This record gives sequence, C-alpha cells and structure tokens, in this order.
Amino acid sequence: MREERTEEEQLADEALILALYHLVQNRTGEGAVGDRLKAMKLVFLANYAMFSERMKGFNCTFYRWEYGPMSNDVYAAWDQLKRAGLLDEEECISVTARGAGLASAFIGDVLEREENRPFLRFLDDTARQWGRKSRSTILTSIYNMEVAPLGEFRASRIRDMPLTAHLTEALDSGDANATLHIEPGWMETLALALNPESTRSIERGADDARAGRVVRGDAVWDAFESPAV
Amino acid sequence: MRYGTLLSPPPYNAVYTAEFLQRLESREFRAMATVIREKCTLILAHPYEACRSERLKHEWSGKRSGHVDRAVPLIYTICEECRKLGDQELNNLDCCLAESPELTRLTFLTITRHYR
Repeated sequence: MREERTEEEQLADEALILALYHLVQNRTGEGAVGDRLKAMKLVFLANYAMFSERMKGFNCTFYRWEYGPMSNDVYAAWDQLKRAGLLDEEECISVTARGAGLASAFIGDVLEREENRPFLRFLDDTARQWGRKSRSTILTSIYNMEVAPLGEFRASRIRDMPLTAHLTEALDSGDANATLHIEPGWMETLALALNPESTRSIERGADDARAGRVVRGDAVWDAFESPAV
Repeated sequence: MRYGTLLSPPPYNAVYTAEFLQRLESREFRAMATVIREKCTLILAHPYEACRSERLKHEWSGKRSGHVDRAVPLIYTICEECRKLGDQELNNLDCCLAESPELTRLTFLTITRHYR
C-alpha cells in the first residue's frame, strides 16, 4: 500500500479538489461548498468513484474514521489552498474569486481535453448528485456504501468497518486504466500558484518591468563573482 | 514547430528586474548566484528549450519558467514570443507598448521557489 504521494500527485489532488468545489458552487448556486465534514465527503465520493474504476485522478489515501471516510491528504490540500488564497474557510469552505478563476481555467484547459473528459465527468457527477444534499444525507449514504477495504476481497458496509480500514490509495500509472494528463506548463503553473510568495514575487517582477525598474546586461553579476583565492 | 529554428538567433539580450536582483541578493538565493548565472546564460542561448522551459498558464500566460533546480524556477518573458503570440496585453511590460520592439530582449522577472 502506497500512502506517500509524489509532488505531481499532490498538485493534481489540489487542482482536482479546487475544481470539484468550483463545480459544486456552480451547480448549487451557493457561495460555499459546505462545512468540513461535507467538503471532506464530497472529495471521498469523487475520489472513490475514480479509484473503483482504477482511474488515476485523485491520489488521496482515505480510511474509515469516526465520522466516515477521512483523509489527511485532503486536510493538507485545504491548508495549502487556503494559504494560497484559493479557498476560504469561516463556518464553511468556499472557493475564492482567485480560486474560481484558476479552477475555471484548469477545467477548460486540462479537464476538458478529450483524454481527461472521464475525470471531469466524475467531478461533475459528484457535484450534480451530491452538491445540494445535506451533510447528514451524504454521511448516511456513505455509511451504507458497500466497499471492499484495501487488501480484502469481501465488501462490507463502511458503517461496519473497523476504524483505520483503508478505502483508497494512490494508484501507480501502470496499475491504472487511465491517468489524468496534466501538461508540464500547467504543473509548473500550479506549483507556483500554490505558493503565495511566488505569486507575489512574479507580480512584483512584472510591476518592475512595467515601470522600467530594470537593469541591462551582465554587470549585475559582478557583485557575485567569487574573489580569487 | 520549434521556435528556436524560426525566430531570432541567439544570444538574446538580458534585462533583469529590481525584484530579480533583490531576490538574487537575498539570503535564500545568494549562495546559488553562480549556478543561477549559468542557467541565465543557458536560457539566453536557448530560451525556448533550456532548463526545462515551459510556458506558464492562466494569469501568467505569456511568461515562462526555466529551472535552476527542481524547486527553483526563473520566471522570464521573451519579447519576440510575446509579439508573435500577441501576449502584450497579458504581459503588459514597458517593452510591450514600443513601436519598434527589441525582439531579442529577454526579461528575467524573478527567481522563486515551488511551494514544497
């Protein structure tokens, strides 16, 4: 069982979570996804739907916990998305205007590509089917889902599983029926967009170039030349 | 289609922003100055291919990243690419309004770091 995700897998998870929440907010017409419990379960539903078809989109490890399936990877993604100003959380989790812009571009450029459409369908189905439902309705439905925990062949209801029973994990591409394809330029953009300091620095650099605060040529390196020994 | 075979021959002319220089002098990047200079030289020779160059997307369309190492990208624009692909409105740099642009200008905007 593989619980450690690569950097690329973490970026894909964060982008998919943002896209899912953006679709939920669009579907419901509400300004928020819901509280933490609902927001966590929506990711589980989309993640499990992909995982059960061996589609490598989400890479989160979910396990049975006190209030149903939960994932430390989703908590980490929330923290990162909030630090980057893409998600907001007061009583409920919501996508910020900047997050909506990034999610919308990611959906249009990446998820709507022919080879990635099945992954978009999983997100859209989750948003359409569950977005408007209350957290208690979602939780009851999930508790009654019959799932085979990792490493076991026999399915049982999530309600009846022992705590810590693992439900999903990161698939290796070789074991997957299909893998979400994110082109390198988008991977790079996500890695920068998720670092607030990078975002600010790029903006400052562009402002400097706009205002003519620039230096030409190689003289800039003189101060960094090592003295002869 | 490879831009490098079609567009202006190298070397390109470097322009560094105040933000780039400030970051270069910072404690975080000062020790890497020699390798950053080497990467800038490589990018000036082959701006479309060197250092795993990639065009950025969304709000940074029109800009490129090239890597110093896995976690440290340089962010830059190439004047000829900006003009060719009509990115002036997105980039909106001082050179974007010029009637006779210096197409071989390459502007290093900043040195930054991925989030992990």
